[in-house]
Amino acid sequence: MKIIKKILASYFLIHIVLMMILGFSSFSYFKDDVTFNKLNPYGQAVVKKADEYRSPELIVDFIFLYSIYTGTNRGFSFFSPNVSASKVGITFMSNGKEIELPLKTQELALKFRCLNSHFNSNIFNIEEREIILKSISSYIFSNNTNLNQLDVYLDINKYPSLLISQEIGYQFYNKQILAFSITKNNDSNQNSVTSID
Amino acid sequence: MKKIVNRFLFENTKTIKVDIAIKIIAAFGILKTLIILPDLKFIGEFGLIKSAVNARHISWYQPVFNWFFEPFNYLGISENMTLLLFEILFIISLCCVFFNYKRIVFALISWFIHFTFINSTYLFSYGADYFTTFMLFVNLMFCLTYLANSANQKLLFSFVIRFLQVHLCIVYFYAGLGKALGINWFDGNAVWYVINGFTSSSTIESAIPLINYPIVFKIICWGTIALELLYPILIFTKKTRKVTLYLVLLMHLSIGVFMEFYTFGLIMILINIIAYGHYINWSLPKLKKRSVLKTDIA
Repeated sequence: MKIIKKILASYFLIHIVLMMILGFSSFSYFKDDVTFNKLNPYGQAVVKKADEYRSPELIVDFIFLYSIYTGTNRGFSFFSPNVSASKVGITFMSNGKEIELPLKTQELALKFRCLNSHFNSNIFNIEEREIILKSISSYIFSNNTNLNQLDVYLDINKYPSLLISQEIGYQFYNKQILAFSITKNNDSNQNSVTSID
Repeated sequence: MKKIVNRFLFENTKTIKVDIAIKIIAAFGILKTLIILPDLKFIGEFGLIKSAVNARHISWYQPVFNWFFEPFNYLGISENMTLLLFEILFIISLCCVFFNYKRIVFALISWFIHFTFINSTYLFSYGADYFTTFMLFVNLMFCLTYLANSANQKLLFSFVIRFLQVHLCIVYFYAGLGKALGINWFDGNAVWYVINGFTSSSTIESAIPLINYPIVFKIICWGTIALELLYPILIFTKKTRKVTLYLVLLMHLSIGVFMEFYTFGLIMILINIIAYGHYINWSLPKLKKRSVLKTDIA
């Protein structure tokens, strides 16, 4: 039992150290210009330190592997460092009619919001954006065989701050813009997408 | 030093029973799967996000359902049926874990299937999914304690509980620290934006009159940062541990109910109950005494 205790105590210590490195280094994701400018001075100093921090490659690989298998790989900074004042949703339309995604459960609707958030953060990454749109559109075309074209609208919601709401009343900005049009390839593969404009 | 570490990690402290902890995790896993089951078609080659798109975000050593589609297809089993079979196996495994039938084997199977599910739906996964993977990993540790004799089992279970308690302290500390780096968790706007972007229209309408009292939003924001940052100290201090636990449970209940993050709210409540549930007095009020009092009054 003595040996088992020693092994467990060592594992305990390793887990704590790995989780602390993971938690701290995840702050380096706040280094992009938009996020960094919205940090307080103390936050900027911490993020700079996190960005400068480098672990040996072997340790980084081990942390990555261990965190994936234990479900701790996404870090712990939820709704940090700020909560966004805007929200962008995706709506699919065809001939002016909204095409509802077949999300039967509340849980999948919530999961779709996670996908939506990934899409929003990659909106200027053309390759990632098109791959995601093609995949979802192909799914919609498969479920709606009569459709030939899909228009993807971005629903932009921007919320007023507490101060602005106090001064001019509660008015939130909402705009729907046509972002992309997707056409189905009718020739070769019925469900594939030919173009995104 | 050795004595302190030994006492902290292996002392037979008061905790909730190992069997209850395992049953809580198993029941949650079953519930979480049943909730998503009607929508299972969203995974795979014909799903919302194709396997090839998903593959761009994961490494080769992360198992995905795609690995099994081809061999199962060879046996004449379709992709959707393969997914359904895995989910049924997941539920059966957790039932076996719940009813104490070959717990270690089925705890391992359930963790593996859930891990595969998360990898196969990388772009759809969020906090609740990752914490479920972590809890199924902890569940495996709980089940492994059954390999020891009864005296050592208690000792090993104490270790796993300590492991979970300290892990939660790290999670909350970094969650609080992350919020303390920004701006709008200090001026109250963070909670205001959460209400606007993540809650129902009726909740927003009820919150609008509070605009004139920004201190309400500030207190909630400051309270959240303080609670998360100081959780590691407050939860281990005798005088504050009970109130800290209640406040954390209240926070997760609010996240579940108002933000409609039901599974996330629930898993966080359950993790806290498994780790610190022994702080709460779960015994029911003694009805016998009351009835005696009633008779006296009569």
